[in-house]
Amino acid sequence: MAATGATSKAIAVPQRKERTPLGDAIEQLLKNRLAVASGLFIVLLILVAIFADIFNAYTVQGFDTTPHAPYAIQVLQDNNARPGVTSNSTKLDGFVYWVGADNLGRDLWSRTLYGARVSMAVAIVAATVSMMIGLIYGLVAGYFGGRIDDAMMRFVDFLYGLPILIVVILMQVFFKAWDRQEDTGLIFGILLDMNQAMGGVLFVFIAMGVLNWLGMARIARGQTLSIKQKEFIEAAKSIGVSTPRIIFREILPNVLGPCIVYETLQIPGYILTEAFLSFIGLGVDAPTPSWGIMINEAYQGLRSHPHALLPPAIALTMTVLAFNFLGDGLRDAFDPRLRE
Amino acid sequence: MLAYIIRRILWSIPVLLLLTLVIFLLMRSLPGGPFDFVGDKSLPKSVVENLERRHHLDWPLAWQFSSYVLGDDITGGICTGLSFLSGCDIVQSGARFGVSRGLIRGDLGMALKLRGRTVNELVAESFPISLQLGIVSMIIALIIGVPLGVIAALRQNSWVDYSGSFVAVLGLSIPNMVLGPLLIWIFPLTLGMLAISGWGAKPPFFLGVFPNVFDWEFWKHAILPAITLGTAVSASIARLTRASLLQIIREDYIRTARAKGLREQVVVTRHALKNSLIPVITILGPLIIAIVTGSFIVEQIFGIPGMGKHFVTSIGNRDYTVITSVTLIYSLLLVTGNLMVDIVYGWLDPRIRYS
Repeated sequence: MAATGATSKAIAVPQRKERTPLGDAIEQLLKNRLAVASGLFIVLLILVAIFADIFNAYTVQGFDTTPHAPYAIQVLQDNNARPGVTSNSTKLDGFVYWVGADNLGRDLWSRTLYGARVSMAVAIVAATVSMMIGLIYGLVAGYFGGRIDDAMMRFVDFLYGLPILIVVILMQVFFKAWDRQEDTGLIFGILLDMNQAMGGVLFVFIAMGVLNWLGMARIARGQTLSIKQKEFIEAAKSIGVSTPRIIFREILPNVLGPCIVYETLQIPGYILTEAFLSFIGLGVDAPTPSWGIMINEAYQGLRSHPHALLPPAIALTMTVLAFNFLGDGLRDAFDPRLRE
Repeated sequence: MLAYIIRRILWSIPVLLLLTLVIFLLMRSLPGGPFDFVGDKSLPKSVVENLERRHHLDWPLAWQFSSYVLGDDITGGICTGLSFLSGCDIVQSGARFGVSRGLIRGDLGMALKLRGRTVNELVAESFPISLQLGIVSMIIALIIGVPLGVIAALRQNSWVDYSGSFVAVLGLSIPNMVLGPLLIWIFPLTLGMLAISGWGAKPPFFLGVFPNVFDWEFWKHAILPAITLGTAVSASIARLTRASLLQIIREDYIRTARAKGLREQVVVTRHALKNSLIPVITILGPLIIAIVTGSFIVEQIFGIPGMGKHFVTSIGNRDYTVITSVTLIYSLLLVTGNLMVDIVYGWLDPRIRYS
């Protein structure tokens, strides 16, 4: 389906284009330059996050940092180095701090790159988890309807009354307190070990995944309610297609569009929540860099070294901006009523 | 409508009660206690035990909860009546400390870390400040957001519209934690204008909330944090105003108003704008949430002694009673805020009927 636009262009003989809703939406999206640029920026950011080991300033300038991770190298002589300053240390002779160093003499360029890892991981994992739980929940509630639907949506309404950010904060307080403990249960102990290995990101995922599927569940249910009345569902039922197959093969592809749009618009919120948690010290664990932690550190030294604020601040703002533009573009593309 | 309001209020009671229970259990079941350390030093064991006994931390959890919600005297009373319940012996030895009068009588408990202070005192001091900050940011957001949206809609598809929409997304995307330090860097640090931190208004406040607005000291401290908090909100208001006005301006009654010869200005302000602001009311709920949660960071950044700062500090201090009580107040605020938005919405738009 997705390729119709491209293939029909490749055919030499001009002929009437076959139009599908998805093809239309993609075509519409590609016309939106801001959305396309934002999409490219996000792809670039994901690549940078994955290949941070290559693009960090130490590797690019030919310095081997083993056994330390590039984001954790402290050179105290170079603390608060300004952008473009060369290192004073003999070990890093000739190393240039492209965008400066922080108060512990850590290269800000490298830390910002590695910070993208945390943000992108949170964006992808939180979106995927919320989408999976919310979609399945909404599909089931909407498809079965009646009492099941009533009960399931009452539960969602109930949870909706909870202030999400405060619940996330409390869960992080809970996890962090356990983190310092020796004596934990086996399963929780394994979770703690995994969390430690991941630099503290695991618990951020869990805390954010717990409540963020609610909106998705509502959207998916609403879409399912309207789709399940259509003739093709009736046709599928009449030839004896099994219920799970109807839900996942017939209904799911049709509700996916609005759900993806909704989820894309939620991603800036996830990224900001992680940055917020890290800013108040409830996010990832030091020395793992997160833009929130970096902004907090830069804020502490704002009076004397304001340059440390810019790299993480620009990175965070640009990322949120890109996701907002992409989300807006997707929404416009998928909603024909908004087209002029 | 009245039935709807009553039902909503009744419905929020179990939500809040459950939330209280969950928060309470979550906080009290944490390993380690608030008295493990004072600064870097650990307290002598006997002192810790005494403090824990004073705050009933040695009781079984269920009884601690009872003391928190119902108060010590009632909890003690239950224990006298039903002394076969487990843990009653400990409760009876401790109830005469009489620390807690219970949530039902409006007692939010003692702060554990800030010794000798009650949470009620903390809230009474800090809540008006947070409220002032919230109100000023909301006003700033409306003053910027509504006109921006109206201008963009009236000049649809012009450069004004495009740049306005771009600025709105930018405002929506710049996080508090970036904007705040950036403003501090630009205004107080570089230009020497306005205050870096603290809060200028001093109690007593008019009606307990309103400061002296003719006092420059108040604005000097309030402008930057209020802009930080209000920017994202004003951006969402601008976007929504634009979208809603664009829809309304195509309605029949607008054409009628123009057809009968009304001036364009009157058509826009009297007929279109009034109705286009109704959908804006619906997002006031989420916007209030944005301002409340944004205040955690903004109060931290600007050193404002409001409730958000207390909340974040108490998290660092593991001051369980402050965390529990302040969380409850926030939840209550958000629940009432949402309810009020629904009521105002129904009142403004008679087509909406709640069932």
